[in-house]
Amino acid sequence: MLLIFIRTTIIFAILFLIIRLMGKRQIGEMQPFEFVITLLIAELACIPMADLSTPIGFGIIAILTLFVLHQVLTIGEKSCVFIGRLISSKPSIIIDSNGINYKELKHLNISLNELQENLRIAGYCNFDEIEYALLETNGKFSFLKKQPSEGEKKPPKTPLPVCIVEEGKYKEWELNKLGLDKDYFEKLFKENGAKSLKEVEVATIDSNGKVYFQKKNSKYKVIETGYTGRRPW
Amino acid sequence: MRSTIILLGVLALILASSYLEGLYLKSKFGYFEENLAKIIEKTDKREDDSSSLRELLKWWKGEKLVMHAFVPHNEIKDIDGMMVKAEEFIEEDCFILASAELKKLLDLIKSLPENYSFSFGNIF
Repeated sequence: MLLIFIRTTIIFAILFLIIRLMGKRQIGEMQPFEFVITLLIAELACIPMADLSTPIGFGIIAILTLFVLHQVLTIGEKSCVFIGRLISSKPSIIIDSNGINYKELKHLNISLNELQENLRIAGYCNFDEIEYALLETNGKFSFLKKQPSEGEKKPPKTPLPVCIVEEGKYKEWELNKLGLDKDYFEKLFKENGAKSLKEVEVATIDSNGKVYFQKKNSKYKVIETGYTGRRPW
Repeated sequence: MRSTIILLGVLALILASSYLEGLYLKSKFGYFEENLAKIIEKTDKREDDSSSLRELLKWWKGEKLVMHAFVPHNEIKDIDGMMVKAEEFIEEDCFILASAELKKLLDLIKSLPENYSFSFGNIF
């Protein structure tokens, strides 16, 4: 019994360390590959804990290997957009200004009932209360509410922000999709103190042309540009 | 940067420990095999070599403490059992039975490092 106690303590300590090293995201908001790794880790941890004939090292090496794979996939996801899309996919727009995107719903195997259920959980009753609904890569729904203002019959369009620069790299896919010009942003970033793109930590733009810009180790700035690209959002 | 360093450290640890494990098992089981082969040769000639076997058993008891970290414990238990059985057969002058038991043990000892070596067959 003491053996099981000691082995369980060792496995717990290693698992705890590994989960901490994997980051907080691992606990609540998992990407598909993180979910797979968590399932495997749970199973691997149990074998050397309960089976005294298995060397504890076998379990530890397997857990460490999963940690290595997790780190490699995370680095791949961050460093290359293509690998990132391959590993974690991309958020899907289920409801946009034209209404429910049935094609996307079918593609995601989500029924209308499920969508309505999630809408109600988020505190909305009708689809027309929503400007955008997105299914995030971690499987959670995000809803952006329409914001009607006084004196206006038609509610104004809620801006949907899109990330265009992350860790000094352009998000080519988003730029191309919306017809956004790199030269325009490079000029804008220079005017706001970033000597090169590498200095830009994050930049997003919404459908009203509002740019959220943050230089490395600096406070963020919000710039109203009015620029919305060549294609409709 | 920090996570990359940790990643490379863990990767190096896994590779180094795998390499050292291979070397360790090869050297220890190589020694075991060599000595056991000599005992089998004498047993086949119906010579009592229980003292060598006892010496080998003593050596094995010391080594198996570390061996538990690399080899599944059931296989270590099997080796123990076969050695004790062979010793008893030799003491009772049952050389044919002792030789059969020792040959079974030799086969197990030869196969153990192979079972844990890096090869196509072992991966799948």
